[in-house]
Amino acid sequence: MTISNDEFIARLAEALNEDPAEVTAETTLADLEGWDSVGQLATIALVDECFQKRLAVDELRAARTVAALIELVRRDAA
Amino acid sequence: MARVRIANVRLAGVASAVPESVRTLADDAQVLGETEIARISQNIGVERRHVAPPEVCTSDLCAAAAERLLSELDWPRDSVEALIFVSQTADYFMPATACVLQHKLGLPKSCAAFDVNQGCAGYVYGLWLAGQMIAGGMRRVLLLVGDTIARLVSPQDRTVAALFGDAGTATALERDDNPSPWFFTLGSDGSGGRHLTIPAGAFRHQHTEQTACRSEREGGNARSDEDLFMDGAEVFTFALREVPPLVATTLEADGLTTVDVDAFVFHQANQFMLNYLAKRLKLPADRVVMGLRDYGNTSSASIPLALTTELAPRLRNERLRLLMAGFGAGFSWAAALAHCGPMTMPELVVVPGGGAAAQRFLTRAHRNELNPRL
Repeated sequence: MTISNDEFIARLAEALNEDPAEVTAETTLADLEGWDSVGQLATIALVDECFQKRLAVDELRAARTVAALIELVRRDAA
Repeated sequence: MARVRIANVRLAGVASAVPESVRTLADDAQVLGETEIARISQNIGVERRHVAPPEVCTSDLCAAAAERLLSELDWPRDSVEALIFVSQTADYFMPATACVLQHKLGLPKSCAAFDVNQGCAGYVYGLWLAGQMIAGGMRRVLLLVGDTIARLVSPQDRTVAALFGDAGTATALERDDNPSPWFFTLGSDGSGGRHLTIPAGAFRHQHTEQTACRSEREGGNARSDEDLFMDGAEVFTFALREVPPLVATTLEADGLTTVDVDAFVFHQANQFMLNYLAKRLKLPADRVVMGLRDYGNTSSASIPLALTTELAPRLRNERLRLLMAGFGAGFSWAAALAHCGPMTMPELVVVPGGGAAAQRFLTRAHRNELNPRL
């Protein structure tokens, strides 16, 4: 995987229309205004683009934090 | 995926019709709030949609498109050997709307008429069927495709409220000695059916007071089980999984690559999805047809409607290699690669009011007994 976690978090913040300074690995996704159905579509596209991977939607929605999302994305990538 | 090659078929013309009444973002803002609607609209790329009043059915829109097309083509009615009606919003459970339309359009009794239940992939399924029928010996086939999905969505469901518009279309296909074959690829995955569905009101879960009652669901959206439900994330994931290989497989069948295609006409699902698919497939943006802004997602009608609204001037005069691809409810998907034009492309037909008095009566009965939300 060529993209670092920090880069991914920055891209995620952009996709969710959030201030990059406000989004860290510890951020709870549900606390972000941008984490709505539109934001979830943007996240699916971002993961597809960066990792050529399609997440299971129920797993995506179950991810509590940004770190959990990253773990999900990287889980089968090794 | 099923792969089919059909020779000796040409598109003679395409016409599209929309209801006169328009719903704008300002209308949606009154229900869902301005900030919310602005964010949704920016994402889906829709600013207004034509929405059919209760007395206008898909068949009325298709009939208006067909009348205009037949008259501009100057096809004698008795030369039409088959009528296919593709829709998820038929007039009745019984009889087939295709038979209603055969009569309404004054087509001969020798005409074969039947309905196909298909949504966003339905136009391409219809082209494939019509093409097969012509390959099997018929000379002229009329393909009527459309939906009034906007009538099936809850205005309080932000995932769909501002997305769908209504339209009906007519496509004329005929036998031709043109040696350039059509290539089709088709597929389906019923495991995804629950992600884009109207759960109740037909026979599996028949109408009851409860199924018609709107209540609050996930994310604060309100809808009933007789309203359309769409899980946008699931549909997008499905499209990302199936559409790129669908396009690649179809092009390969003719030994082509994306640069050989003059225009990509995808089902107009929403702007975000189309932009991402185009990026992912590395398609030049100016060859990807976008017709969402004024019409929204018109389900099965979106591909032919986009031909009318975005490509008519070119298709009247030029021969274009089109790649048309539909994907949606089922899940179903299908793509067609074909040379189209020059052909008859009437101006967009705008249908003013309701149909006959008898039909208004039936609609009212339907509204009261089966569909109290209307």
